[in-house]
Amino acid sequence: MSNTTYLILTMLAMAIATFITRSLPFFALKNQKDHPVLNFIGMYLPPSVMLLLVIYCLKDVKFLISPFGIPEIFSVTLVALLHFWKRNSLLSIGMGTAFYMALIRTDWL
Amino acid sequence: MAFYSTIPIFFGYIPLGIAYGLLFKNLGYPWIFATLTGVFVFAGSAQFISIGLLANHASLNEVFLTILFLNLRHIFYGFSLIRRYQTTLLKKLYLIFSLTDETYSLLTVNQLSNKDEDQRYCLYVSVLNQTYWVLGCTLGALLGEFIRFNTKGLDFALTALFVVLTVEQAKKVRRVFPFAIALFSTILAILIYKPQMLFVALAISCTLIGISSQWEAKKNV
Repeated sequence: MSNTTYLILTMLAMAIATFITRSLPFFALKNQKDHPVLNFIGMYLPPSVMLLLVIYCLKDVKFLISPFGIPEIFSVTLVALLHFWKRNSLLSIGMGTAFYMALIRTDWL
Repeated sequence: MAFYSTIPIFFGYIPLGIAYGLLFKNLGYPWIFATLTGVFVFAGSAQFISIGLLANHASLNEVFLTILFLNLRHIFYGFSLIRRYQTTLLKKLYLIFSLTDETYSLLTVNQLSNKDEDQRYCLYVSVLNQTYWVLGCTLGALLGEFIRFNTKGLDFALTALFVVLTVEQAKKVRRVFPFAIALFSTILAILIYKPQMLFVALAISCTLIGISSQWEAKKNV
């Protein structure tokens, strides 16, 4: 499989998977939208998934060797605090990313 | 009205799209594919996570399952929009296709009383948002084509995006247990099968939340 074919197939898989998740309630669950278990999962699965994704993004951080994951810990804390305080996504993401990029390029840590 | 309400999304999608485009260009593929992904996939977090998957030459199954679970939250967006999205098939398909986190949060905050106007509003918001996103992805990829840019650390934008979404969720649900379940599931997933930890952890979380719904129901009787 050539590189371009692989890329196109990957894009296709992404497009299909995304469309499935977006369209499912419109086509399959129309009549069950008031099911209590589904409503409960609908309410509490997203927060769980979001935290899982944060952890997943940090899975390759090596906490036992220098710099001991300090840039990640500091930057994640900054983003979370900024967002609790100002609730401005662009500000939180922009500042956090800039801070992280600066931290991993310095020699202080 | 539609344009004004999408201005915050404009300022979110353009820089994030640029970050995606730059990272994508770093993989060595032609810039046009960043544009095409924005047009045909249109899912911010999925596109960001695909950078890592593409770099590792992940199998198509793994890509499909990861994106499916990553975007699982979208299933629950549709519930509240079923009635609002009752329009012609083509329009409906596009509205469903373009239902991102940001579009959803904007549409659920603003609803027009006139049904026709509301449907036009939903459509304009969706089209505008996708335009911003495609523009951002393209700009980033072109930028990466013509100038050498050190993207080291830029991928933290994805982590930051998920931290922001976690905080948003915490403010919304004001409960600890979904987050406790997430931590517990991660530890368990690492112990069970680390190479597919995201998939395993998601499956455990979903099961545990299903179980706690029964528990909660009993408590309220």
